[in-house]
Amino acid sequence: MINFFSYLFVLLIPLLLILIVRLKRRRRVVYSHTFLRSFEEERLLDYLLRTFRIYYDVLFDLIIAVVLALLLSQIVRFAPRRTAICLDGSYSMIRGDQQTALHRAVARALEDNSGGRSTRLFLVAWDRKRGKTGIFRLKEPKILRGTDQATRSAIIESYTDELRQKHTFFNVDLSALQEIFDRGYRKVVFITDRLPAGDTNLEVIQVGSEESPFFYPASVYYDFSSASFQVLLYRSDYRRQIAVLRYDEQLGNFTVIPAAEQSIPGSELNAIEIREEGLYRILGPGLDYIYALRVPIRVVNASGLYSRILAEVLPQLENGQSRTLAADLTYSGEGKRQLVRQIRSLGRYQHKYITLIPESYTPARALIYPLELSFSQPSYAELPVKFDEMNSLPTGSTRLFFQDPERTRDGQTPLVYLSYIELDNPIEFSYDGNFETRGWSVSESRSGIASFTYTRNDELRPVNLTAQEFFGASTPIDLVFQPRRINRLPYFLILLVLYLTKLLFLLRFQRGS
Amino acid sequence: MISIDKECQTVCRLFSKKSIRAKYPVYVKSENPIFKKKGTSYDLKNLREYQPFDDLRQIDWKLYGRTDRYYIKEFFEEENERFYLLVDTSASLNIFDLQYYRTFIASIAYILLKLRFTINLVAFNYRVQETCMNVKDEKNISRVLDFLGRLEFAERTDLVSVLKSVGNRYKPSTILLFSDLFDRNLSPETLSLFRRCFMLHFYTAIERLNLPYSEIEIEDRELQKTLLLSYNPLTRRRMLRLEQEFLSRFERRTRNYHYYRIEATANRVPFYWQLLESLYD
Repeated sequence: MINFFSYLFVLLIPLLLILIVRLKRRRRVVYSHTFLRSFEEERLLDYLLRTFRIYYDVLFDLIIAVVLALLLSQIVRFAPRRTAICLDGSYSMIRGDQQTALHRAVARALEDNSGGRSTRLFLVAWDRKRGKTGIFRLKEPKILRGTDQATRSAIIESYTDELRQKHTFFNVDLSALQEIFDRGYRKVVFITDRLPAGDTNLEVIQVGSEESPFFYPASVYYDFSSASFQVLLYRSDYRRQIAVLRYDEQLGNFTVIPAAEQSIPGSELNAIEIREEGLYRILGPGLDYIYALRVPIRVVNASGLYSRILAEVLPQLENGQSRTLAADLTYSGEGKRQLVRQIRSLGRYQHKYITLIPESYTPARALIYPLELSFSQPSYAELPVKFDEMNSLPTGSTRLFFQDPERTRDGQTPLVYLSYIELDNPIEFSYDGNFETRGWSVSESRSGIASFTYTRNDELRPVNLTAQEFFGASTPIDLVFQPRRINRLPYFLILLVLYLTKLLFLLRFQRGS
Repeated sequence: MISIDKECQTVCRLFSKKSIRAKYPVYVKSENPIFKKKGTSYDLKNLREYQPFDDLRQIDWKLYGRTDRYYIKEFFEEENERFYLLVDTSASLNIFDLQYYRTFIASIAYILLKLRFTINLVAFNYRVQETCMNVKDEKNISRVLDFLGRLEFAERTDLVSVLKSVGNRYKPSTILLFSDLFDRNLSPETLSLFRRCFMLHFYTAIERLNLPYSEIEIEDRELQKTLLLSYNPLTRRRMLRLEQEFLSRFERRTRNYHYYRIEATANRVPFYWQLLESLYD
């Protein structure tokens, strides 16, 4: 408000000067009012009209100054006062067998939305097409008034199931909620199963309570720097210890090995370090999981400059004769034909781990698809220097990122379950002369398209070997969003109308009728 | 310094040559002879016996020869018509060129005196302020000039009240009204009190003010009010319409009502001639 008055004061200075000049230039004549008495003995309306004729331009300038001050101070934003109800589309919302958090969130959202039409329902979830978190406008189910509770529950149930089928519940980047604010919503109700840790200007509704004591194997990865496996466990029940057993081929049985469980600060994860390969059994509270740990070095048939560099730089890759092809992605010419021939030569082998490395259009950044690591999600290999200098880098200096852990809220999602989810919907790689979208598509136009078949091995093995950063300690993120920037169009329209009206009055009074 | 137009003498001389009527005085005719004054006209008033205080020259010697008695013949008084010059001295006259105004009145007065009329000057604003009565002969023009020189133009105009007052007090038959007529209540019907009325309207047209298209403050010194207007073509048109309505109230001529609108830049001499023409009409 102070800004408004400050701007108004500044804008009124020229107006004041104009008034002073007009006062100075005002002509004063002596004349009788005898036949001008009609000007004096006018009614209030006539008086106002006469006064308006004198000061109409000042009046319009004043209004324009007020509008400009409002525009500059941004007091009035011309934003709709609607409320957006946004459902959390992270994986944890659909975790569980019985009534999921999503089910409760939908019920709560429909309950909140039943009152008025000024609310809109959204879902923030993983957008497969764009390869990042997106905002989806949801069409609310029609629940007529007077619907009994059973019918209502059935509608909510079916609606929840429909949401689960249509959308991918995965790690979500809550910064995408800014899009809702950008659309003009001033109030965003975020229904989630977990309250954000940092500050937020969202109205957060937490549905459901904490889960019952759980124990999930979150992830397993091989840390090349320490040459050990890190088994990440996601558990809430610490009253019982976890035992690690290794399969002894000679004994034909599992034997307990000493393994320390270390909690990862800032997360609910615990890590168990295992140094040797082998078959392990981890006994948890009520559950046990079997891991076949192997050092995840994949021999790939590297083809092309970038692929060879990556195979040399990345510790988990080795260049050699393999049916896993790592090839530079080319779009035309001999390179493309060669790539096609190479892919065809793979035949219909079931396990086709193909890394397509696009041509470098950003010298310091290459896009790769380590499909077996990222569940077909696009991931970025951040190469700190240009490829020409890659040979001089020490091995292991390149890091693989899946998503920005700083902005990923649901970092603790046990991806192993996602693996099984993907198993239910296997997607085959196909090629008919052109790369065709049969699976994931990526927003980058030149990044190419790849699909990937994920098949469960008979033996248990770490299926989502991920970068360590993925489950690193994440600091609390402030989910404070900027309301929509001021919408200047209405101001310009108002100013245009004011100027035109002033011009019309000017013409009217100058020309007369 | 009030002057008289030098053309006045010429106007009088030419008008005297033009019309023989101007050589002879206008007689007063009264309905009731009782109130007629005794004088030296040829109109017999009375015949009576000589009294010791009578002038011997008035004895009718022919009658003495027939009757052997002294008789005196009395005639009615011969008198020129008295003109009342009503001079508006309200504050609104300040709009006009007062020098022009005074000169005009002085010149008219001179012409009338030259033509051997008796003039009475009455200065007024909302009431009669000052009078200068029974001015006869052109030699007394200095009285008129002094009178006009003393005038102060102030206060409001109340023409209706003043005309009624003059009509009741002096019962003039012919008046010459010098005014700007800035009185809303005035109508030509008000002037029916007088047998003949010559209305000399001193008027400054709005267009003469050369107002620019901007804000103007119109000050009325009579009302002590100021009217703020945005002077633009629309306002100008409205003001001209009102002005026309105002002027059209007076612009008519009948046998007894003569209207002359005089603007400050106008040549005065034609008005003198027209006035004399109307006077002897």
